[in-house]
Amino acid sequence: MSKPVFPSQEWVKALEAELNRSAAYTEAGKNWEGDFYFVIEPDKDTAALPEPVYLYMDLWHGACRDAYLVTDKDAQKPAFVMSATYSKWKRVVTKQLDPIQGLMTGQLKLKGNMVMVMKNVKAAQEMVNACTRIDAEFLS
Amino acid sequence: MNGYIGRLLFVDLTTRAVTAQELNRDYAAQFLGGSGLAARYIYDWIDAGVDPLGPENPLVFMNGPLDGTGAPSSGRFAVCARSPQTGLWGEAIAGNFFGPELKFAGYDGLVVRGRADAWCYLHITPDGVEIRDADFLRGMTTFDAGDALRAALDDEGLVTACIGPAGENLVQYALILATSARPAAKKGIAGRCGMGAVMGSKNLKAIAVRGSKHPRSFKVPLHDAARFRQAMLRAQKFLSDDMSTEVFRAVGTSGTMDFLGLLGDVPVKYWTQGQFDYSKISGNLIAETILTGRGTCHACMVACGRKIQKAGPYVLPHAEGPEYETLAAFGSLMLTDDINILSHIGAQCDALGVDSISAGSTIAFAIYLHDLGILPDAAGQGARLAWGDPEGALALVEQIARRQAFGAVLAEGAQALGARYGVEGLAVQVNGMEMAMHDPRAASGMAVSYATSPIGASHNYSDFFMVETSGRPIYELGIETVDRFQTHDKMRSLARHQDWRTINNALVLCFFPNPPVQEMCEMLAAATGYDVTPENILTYGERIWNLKRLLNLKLGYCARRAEKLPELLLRPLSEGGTEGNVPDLDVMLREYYQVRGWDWETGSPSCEKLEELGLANLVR
Repeated sequence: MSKPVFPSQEWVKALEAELNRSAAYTEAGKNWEGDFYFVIEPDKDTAALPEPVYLYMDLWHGACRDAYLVTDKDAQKPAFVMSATYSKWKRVVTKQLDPIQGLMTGQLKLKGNMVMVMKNVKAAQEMVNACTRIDAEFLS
Repeated sequence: MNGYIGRLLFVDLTTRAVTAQELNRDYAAQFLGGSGLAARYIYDWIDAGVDPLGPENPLVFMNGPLDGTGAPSSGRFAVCARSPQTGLWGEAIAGNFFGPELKFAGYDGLVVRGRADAWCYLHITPDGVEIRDADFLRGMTTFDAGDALRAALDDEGLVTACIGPAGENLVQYALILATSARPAAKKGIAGRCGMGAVMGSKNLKAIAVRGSKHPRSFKVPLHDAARFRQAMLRAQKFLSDDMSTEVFRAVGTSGTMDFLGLLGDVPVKYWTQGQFDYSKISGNLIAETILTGRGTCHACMVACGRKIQKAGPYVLPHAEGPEYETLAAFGSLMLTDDINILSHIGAQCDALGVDSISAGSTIAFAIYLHDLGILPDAAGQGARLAWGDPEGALALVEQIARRQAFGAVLAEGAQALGARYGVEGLAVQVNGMEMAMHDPRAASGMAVSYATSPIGASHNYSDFFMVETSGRPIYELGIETVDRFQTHDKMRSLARHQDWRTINNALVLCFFPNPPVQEMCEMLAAATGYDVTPENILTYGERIWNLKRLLNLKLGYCARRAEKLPELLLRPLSEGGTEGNVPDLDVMLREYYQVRGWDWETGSPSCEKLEELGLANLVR
């Protein structure tokens, strides 16, 4: 079986499954309410990702209720939109860059309730842990 | 003299002489302003024989070349003197509107000498300077004294810097608080090093400053106004788009509590535990419950100040809420998780005029010693010394400020308390300065940052944990991303970060957040005409850092005795985000000395280094 490529429909479904298997995420995210667009933007000098990719995740009280690759970005109005370039996201999902660090240093951009994000740092950490359990391929 | 007014105000309270002197252009060109420029002046004026609380110890308020220009994050000021708390170089950096207002009144800085024969205050305007009787202010809190002055002088535009009862009573860690009548103004806390005690030792209760009645008409002279404006607009654009601006605006400095707590950065139960429910003492909780507005300093784009009219039953003076350090010092450090009373305690520290880091740390240390049975019940003179007892801690804050009962003992600080019971090594301090609320076991570089800081265990001379835990490198300056537990090959970045923050404290710039380096250099160069670029700016910081080292050596600093970590921080924690890490200070320090070009035995910069930095004449 081939490895899911980050970012793709296969990858985000694999993350959904990982989150719903994770007792640590269930506990850490128990107070979380709000769906996300994770926007992966092209880096300046790479042709691997010609256009932004939108991943939708509906996160609710420690579970992921739905997740998919978005084809029409206007189809949803998620509570949170987190954006960064592909290279930054790659560092996040391989646990080289903490997403809260990324926010505080401007490497990741967020639209949505900042307080909600800053008080749920443990959930963000467990989400990254789930990402690292996906044996993924990355664009070169 | 572009970027500067070109004048320093000198007030001798003994002789009541008031003079203005031309600013030393050479000093300004080499040491910029703020605590850098103040250090250069003070180097000429004091030696080891000067009593920190004697009339011969000059107290210097200094603003910077970007103060009043509109450069973002630049509206701060430095207060400097020999510290009564450490006996070493002392500096405290604060915001509000005091620095720019002093500049608008016509001065780059104020030097106070001598001792008045009765309590007095200074009234400074462009029209003149008066030393006035302050008997009516005696015993007042910092907030009340400022408000009383504005009322007495019938001038709501006055910006004041006042001491509280703690400063009057020479508490070793008394602060100076700057306030103004603007509803959205953030307090300016010159908290560390006991600068409030130095002010109190001069019988100086307050300084009231009023610049031009029409501040918008006042223009700081600029070398190249068009270039300055272009750089400033770029910096403003960057900061308005920057996420950290939004983070600190939304949740304040204490909004990082949950994140830093997860990494083990926030101390618990006097540095002996690794876990706590940080969400109960966090700026995120404040934002969702009791926050009523945001406070700002001059030329700030962030507004990290927390405005809280009422926290539970407590009405807060000037609606000033707590910052991260206060919430940690009286919260997790003492196992207290009531955000309402913690906000009240923080406000009381500011009002009574004690540094909340030192006060909280000293009280927590007393509780720790009591818990161990080292500090007997009788010694506490009725004080409540228990974990999770905020009312007991609040009562002690009041006793400290007035030097009453056991407060008189705690007013001398944690090191003295430890020495009193033969356990000085257990006090979490460096050189007499209680440690800031960032555990070096969570970010090893902080061990060297604390050990080598010119003022003791402060995080304001390199908040290197932000590089180590928050991934905040500054690549333009060669400050690289490092693993937080890494021991080797970290010191070059740390030294550069110290130099950078030293420049921040000279300019005088806020850390939350900085404009980009390129724009900072452009603004400074365009304001002053100095040749400042990202390639050479760190030389200014290194020069000032080495100057402060020379000054401390002149004051009797002994590096090999001083550069230690307290015992408790050499013990690994079995739980929490430090993951059992203990920093190897000796290995890092030796690398640090190589990077700095300092002699290991004497702690002194090498002759070559001093020549390189233009400081050799100071030691000949």
